Formats: sequence, structure tokens, C-alpha cells
Amino acid sequence: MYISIIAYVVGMALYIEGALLIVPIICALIYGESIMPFIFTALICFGISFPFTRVKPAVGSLFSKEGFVATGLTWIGLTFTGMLPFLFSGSMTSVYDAVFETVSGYTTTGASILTDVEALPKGVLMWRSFMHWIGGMGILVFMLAIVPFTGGTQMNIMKAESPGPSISKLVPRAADSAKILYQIYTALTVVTALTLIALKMPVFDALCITFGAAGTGGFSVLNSGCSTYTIAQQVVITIAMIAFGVNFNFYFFLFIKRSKLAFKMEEVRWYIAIIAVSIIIITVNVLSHGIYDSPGLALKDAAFHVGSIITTTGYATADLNPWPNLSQGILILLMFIGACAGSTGGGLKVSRVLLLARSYKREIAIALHPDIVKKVHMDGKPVEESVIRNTGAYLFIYLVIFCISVLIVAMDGESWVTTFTAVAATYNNIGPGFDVVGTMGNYSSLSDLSKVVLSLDMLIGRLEIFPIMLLFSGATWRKF
Amino acid sequence: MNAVIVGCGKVGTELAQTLVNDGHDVTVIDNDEKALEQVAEAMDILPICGNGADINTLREADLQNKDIFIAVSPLDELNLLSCVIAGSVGTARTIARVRNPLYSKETEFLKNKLGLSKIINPEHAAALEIFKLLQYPALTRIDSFAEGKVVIFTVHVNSDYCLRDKSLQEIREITGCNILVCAVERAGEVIIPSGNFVIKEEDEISIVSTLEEMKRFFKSLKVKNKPVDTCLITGGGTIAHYLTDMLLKKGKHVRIVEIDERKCVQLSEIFPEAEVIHGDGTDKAFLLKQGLDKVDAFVPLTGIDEENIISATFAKNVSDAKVITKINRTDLNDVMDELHIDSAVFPKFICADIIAQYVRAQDNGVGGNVETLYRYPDNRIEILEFRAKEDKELIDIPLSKLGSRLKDNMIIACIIREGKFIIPSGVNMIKENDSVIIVTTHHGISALHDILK
Repeated sequence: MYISIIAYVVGMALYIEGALLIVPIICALIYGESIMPFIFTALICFGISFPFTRVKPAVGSLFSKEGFVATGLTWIGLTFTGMLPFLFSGSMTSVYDAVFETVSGYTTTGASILTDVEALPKGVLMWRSFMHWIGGMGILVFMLAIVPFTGGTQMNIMKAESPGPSISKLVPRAADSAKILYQIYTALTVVTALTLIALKMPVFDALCITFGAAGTGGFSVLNSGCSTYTIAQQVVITIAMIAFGVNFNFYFFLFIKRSKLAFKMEEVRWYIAIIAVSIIIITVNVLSHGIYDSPGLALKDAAFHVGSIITTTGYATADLNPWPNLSQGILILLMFIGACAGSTGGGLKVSRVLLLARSYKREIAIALHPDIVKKVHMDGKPVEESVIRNTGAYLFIYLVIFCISVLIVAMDGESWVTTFTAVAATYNNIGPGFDVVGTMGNYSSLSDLSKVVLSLDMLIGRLEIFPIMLLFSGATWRKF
Repeated sequence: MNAVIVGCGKVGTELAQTLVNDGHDVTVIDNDEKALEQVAEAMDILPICGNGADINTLREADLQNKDIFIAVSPLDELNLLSCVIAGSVGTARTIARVRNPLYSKETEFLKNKLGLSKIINPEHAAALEIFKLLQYPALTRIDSFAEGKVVIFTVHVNSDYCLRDKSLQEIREITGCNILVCAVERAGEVIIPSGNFVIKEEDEISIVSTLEEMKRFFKSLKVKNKPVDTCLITGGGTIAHYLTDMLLKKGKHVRIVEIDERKCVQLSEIFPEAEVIHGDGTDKAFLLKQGLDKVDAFVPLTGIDEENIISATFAKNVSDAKVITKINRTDLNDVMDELHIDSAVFPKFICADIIAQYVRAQDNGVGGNVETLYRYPDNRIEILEFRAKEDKELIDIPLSKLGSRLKDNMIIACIIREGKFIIPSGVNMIKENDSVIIVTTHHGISALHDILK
């Protein structure tokens, strides 16, 4: 275990966080609010990072283990510093609430304990949404893009922070790959924000909503969520959410003019197919139950929520509680499937579901012909056995953590729908669930214990289990 | 530059590391997923799993936008084929490693017919290296610059030398030769010395001079440095084949010990002048019977590193012969330093070095201007040759004024102007079109102005 490199990475991440606080500071200045909460937070970030970043260790010692531990610790560090503006500004009084809200921000969950969002200062609201943007692509990937590392093992940070069963670089250099990812990310964000502004959304709302959509977060700035925005604006948000749930390799291939490769990506095809089928079923279902009169509105809301849930964003334009069971069931299923690997979304990821389905198909073939030799294929290439094994193990540990969380949250005595969807919606980084924690409700009524468990679930879900679980394993901290 | 390397064995890995250190973007293609993973874990490269001669794999590697394509897989035919295909897919310059002696005779033909930029034969290069050292047995290493006009050679300071406890200034006065000590390795540390640095016994010192000055240097020190006349080789592999050929052409006496009778017969058919002995080259008594204690030079070239090292150490104990050992494994060079075998030759390093040199030379047009490059096997020192171009910060400034602005651990070892060799002192200056040789512990210097702070 090389502590010095871990300290450096964590320190550097806090330093960057401190610098990024400039965004809410500008916002607070524009609205004539106090900037002191952010200034204090920034100073604390710089103060903590200073001793850690004084000496720059060679990154050659950043092995897989160090990558995981550094990522886990960074995100925990970000949580405890990122929550300070909420406390300093008096927006929240309970530390549990502040932790929950911050984790929800960074992990791009978008679950909130706030009952009256509009009462918060604009600066704090901007910070809340901006955390989505930082957490979406990941602060460590950002760090790789801007801090020069030498040594060549920096991919281990990217692997630990980026979601998906196997992470590959786009170009030979990790720093260049990180830069390309952030360029795509920023470009898409700018396009979305400008489109919303062009459609006459207030600039503040447009920025916050765009940050939420880009990071697939889902914090809104109005108590009514997204329901009061115009239909055109809602359609733009829908498209934006779905676009940010696509594997970013897709955009890279388009960018380097190899669209053939882009459209051959099976994960993206399946992602689009799942979205299309879900929208059709839900539209028909809600129409037949008479919830909507106009097929157009039904289609718009169905598309918005399917896009919102599968990308794990969590924006809402309607109260979903009256929706029929089939529609709700599909949405809950989508919560678990999640977005594409290599996007900003959460959940199990379409590629994992595909791999699991295909390895199941292979098991059937093996049951029929025990001596058959068969490989699981993806994008026309055989998938390594280790990836399949890892995916199976991931599913198992994923379900175990899910069940334990459900049991703990169940102690609150809420309805099963609330309990189940609260865990599902936080663990998969979506945000709102159903019933009490539904699109028009929030998490404020849950106990502190549940909030802690759900906060942990959000972190575990965003970092895909291992970076956080490794911190609790004795073997990680053993010297040899 | 954008480079693609096919094959991530020892040479491929070594080469990838060098190119990454030099600041190039490197993509590595290999069939073996495990090996590829290890390389990708250790350095910042893009790994692609597949066959290097498969057009789809090459497309995936985005060969259209690459500048250089290097095939160093273990198979000659695959290397040649993938270079041919790479040449047709993109515009990259192609380099293939071809080691079969059968093909190596037609190197030029193959290169021209198949449109390759370079064919490299590591075994031949290693044999050449050994051959050079046999010409000057007092050296542990020799490299040449500026079309052979300037050499950098390394000697191990043992009790034969009266250099012990003398400062570099004094050494120049004693020998009266125009030489410059540019690097000293002491107890595993590499030092770039200044004029009052004092040499101790067991130091490895590297010296810049011309070939004539080098000969005078040894003469003035009364150290024996005559080319060897007799040579005992164990192991009759490819390197032995090339080396024997070179030695016989110079009229030397060569005795080869080989354990495989069929190989013995083959060798004796090809080299009727050589004495081919069928027997175990690792057997001490047998080696003594073959005259190990009387021979001028002993070169163990068997396929097994450990056997080579053991017989080399044994030879050092029983005879005064110059011992040159071949080592395949690239991670053993630290150990070799401690064993005090005269010289060790690492074919993989040589191969990677030659290709890296070629890549640097290609890079000249793109902005850098390194002409040649040598690295010590353990990579701690780089010796670079630059062509000075118009550069206001460097040109026509006396070195005494430049001195404080140079990076630490950096020495301007030599300036070559119109074929004349100058060991620079404070009054000299670099002029346009000079060749400048720099010795440094910094890595990745690609242009002359990089030597400034």
C-alpha cells in the first residue's frame, strides 16, 4: 500500500473541489447573496489539500489497489467538504441531511431531503446542481485531464471511478482520454444549456437543469420539479438525458468520423431499443387507464420518465403514483438496468445486463450439449471469461447489498413500495422512487439511520461497489 | 508521433516504454490478452488485442493516422506480413524484426520489395556489438557518433589502471590525451562528474574521444587493448553464427562448443575454418580442456541466461580472458553490475535502442532534432547527438556563460564542427550546424534547447 500517492490524489481532488466552488460564488455574487459559506469551504478544502499535495510522488506506485482506495477516499472526502456550504449557509441544520444531500449531488442521484427547494439561496442551489456535473464524469477523471502525472499507471484511477464492466482508453494516453471525455461532456452540456436558454427558460434554471441532466443527477430548482416547464423545454430535457446516458465512446467514434463503429455498438443499440419499447408500452398503458386524455401528452410524459429513469437522472414532470402498476413496474425495472457503461448514468448498466443475458444463453447451450465450446460475444468480439465472471460476481454482491439495505430501511415502518423503491432509487443513483419518496415527495421523513444507509448505497452504487467496499476490508490495509 | 507496436514481448515492452518516455503516443497490438494487460497496467499505452497482420485489428488501431509501425513479434513472417499490410492501409513507416539468418542475407531485397523502412535483426546487432568489444578488450562498452568519428567508451577501473585517486583534471594531464570523462558509475549510482572529481577503484567511467585518442589513452596508461586473437564461444545459436562469421573474416581463431551434435555438423559445414567441438559448454572441466585458461576471449552464448552467467563467472576466476556474456532477460542488468563480468550484451535492449534511435531520427522533421541516441542498459544515462540549428538562446554563446543555465546532471561532452572534434571548455561556443553530444541523466530530451533549465 502506497499511502503517499493516495494522499496526493485525495488532496489534489479536494484542491480541485475548492477551485470549482468559484461557480456557486459567481452565482451568489450575481444574486447578491453571501459568498462566505463557499469561501470558508474553499479555504477548508485548500487547507486540507495543502499538506497532502506538497510532495508529488511518482504515479508508478498507483496500482489497482491504490486506485480503488484513492477513489473511495476521494469521494468520501468530497462528501464531507461538499456539504459544508449547506451547513454554513444555514440551509440545513442536520449533518445527516447535509451528508445525504451532498452524496446525492456528487453521485448524481438527485434524491433530496428538502421539502421546499425554492427557499434555498440561489448560490446553494447552483452548488447542489453543479455537484451533479462534477460527479457525473468524475472528479478524478477531471484531475487526470488537468494534472500531469508521470509513471503510466494512472489508468487505475480512471478504472476505479468510471462505471462499466471494462474500461478502455480512447487514445493511447490516459490524460488525453480524460481530456476527450471532458471535451465531449462539456460540449454536450453547452449545447443543452444554450438550447434551453433559446427556448426561453430562465438562465439560472437552464444551467441547473442542464448540470442535472448532464451528470444524470436530477436535482431540480423548483418545488414542482420539471412540470412547469414548457413542452418544448421538456422535450429538450428528455433528449438531453437520453444523450448523456449513451456510452461516450459512441460520441468519440462520431467525432473521429468512424460512425460505422459508433452505430455498431451493441450496447447503444440495445439502450435505444429498451427506451423505445418502454415508451410505447407505458404510453399505451397510461392511455388505456385513462390517466391522460391526449396521446401526445402521454407520449411526452412516458418518454420523459423513461429517459429520466433509465439514465438514472430522476427529473419528473408528473406524479407517478397514480400510474398503473405495469407502468410503474417497467420503470422500476429500468431503474436496475440503468444507462450505458462509460456514460454518466448509474444502475447495473445495459452492457452488464447484456452480458448476463448472453452468458445465461450460453448456460442453456451447455446444458443441452455439455461438451460444447462457446464464447460470449459482444460487438462481434469474444468477451474474456474474467469479465463474465466479474459480472456474475458483481450482480451477486449488488443484490446482497440491496437486500441488506432494504432490511435496514424497512425498520422505518414505511410501506413496502416506499422502502423498496427508496433503496432502488438511491442505490442506482436515480433519485425519486414511488409513494412517499415519489416524484412529488422527498426523503426528509426517513430516519437518520436510513439516511446514512441510503447515503452509503448512493456512493457504493456510483463507484460500482468495490472502491467503497475495499475500504472496509482488512486485507486492503494490511502491509503485505 | 503516433506509434504502433506489434508484439509485447521483451523487445516490444522495452520499446513501448522508451517511446512513451520520449513523449510519443503508443498503441500496442498483441494476441496474448494477459501479456497485453500487464503492459497496459505498467505504462500509459493503448492495448489492442488481435493479430498484427489482421486488417481489422489494424483498422481498429487507427493505422491511417499513425506515423510509425513496428513489428517485433517472435515470428519473422508475421512481422513482414503485418508491415506489408500496414504499408497498404496507412502511410506509416514500417519496421520489422527479422531474425532468421536465412532471410537476413536478403535484407535489402526484402526491404525494397516489400516497401519497408527498416529491417532489424537483433541477433546480428548483438553479434556486432560483441565483435566491437573483442576489437578493444579493455572496454566494457563502446558506441560511436557522428558517422563513427567520435566514440564513447566505458572502462572498469581496476588495479591495472593508474587512474585511481586521481582527479579528472589530473588524468588529462597524465595521459596527455584529448578525452573527456562524461559519466561515472559508482556503487550503483550514476554521476555526471566535474573537473575536480576523483576516480576510485571499481568505478565505471565513460569517456568521449576519437578512436585515435582512445588508442593513445590506453597506450599512455600501458593497458593492454589489442584485438583478441583467439575466441572461445559456447552455444552455437544465431548470434554465435553471426559472430563467428565476423571473426573468421578478420582472420581470428574461433572455437565453438555446442551440445547438439546436429548443430555442430551444420556449423562445421558453414564454417570450415572454425573448430566446432561437440560437448557441454557448462561443464567446467570440459571448458578447461578446451583451453579456457589460455584463450583471449570467452563468449558464452547459450540460450540460458543462468548458464551464461555461471560460466562467465567461472571463466573470470580461472583465466585473464575478456568475457562477454549474452543475457536475454532485460531485468537482470542490476544483478550483472554486481557480478563483475567484463561486459554483458542484452540483445533485446540493443534491438529496442536501434528502433528508438530510428524513431527519434524520424521525429527530427516533426520538431525534435536528435540524431543518435544511446542509453546505458539500465536506462540511467542517455547520450544524445544533436544538430545545432538556429537558436538564439544557445548559438554563439561561450559555454562559460551558458553553464549556469544548463540543467543539472547534464554535460556537453563534445562539439563536432566540420569533421573536427572539440572537447569543449568555457571559451568554446556552439555554432550553427555543429553536432553536439550531450550526456545526461534526464530522459526524454528531444531538442537542443531542452538542455537549458
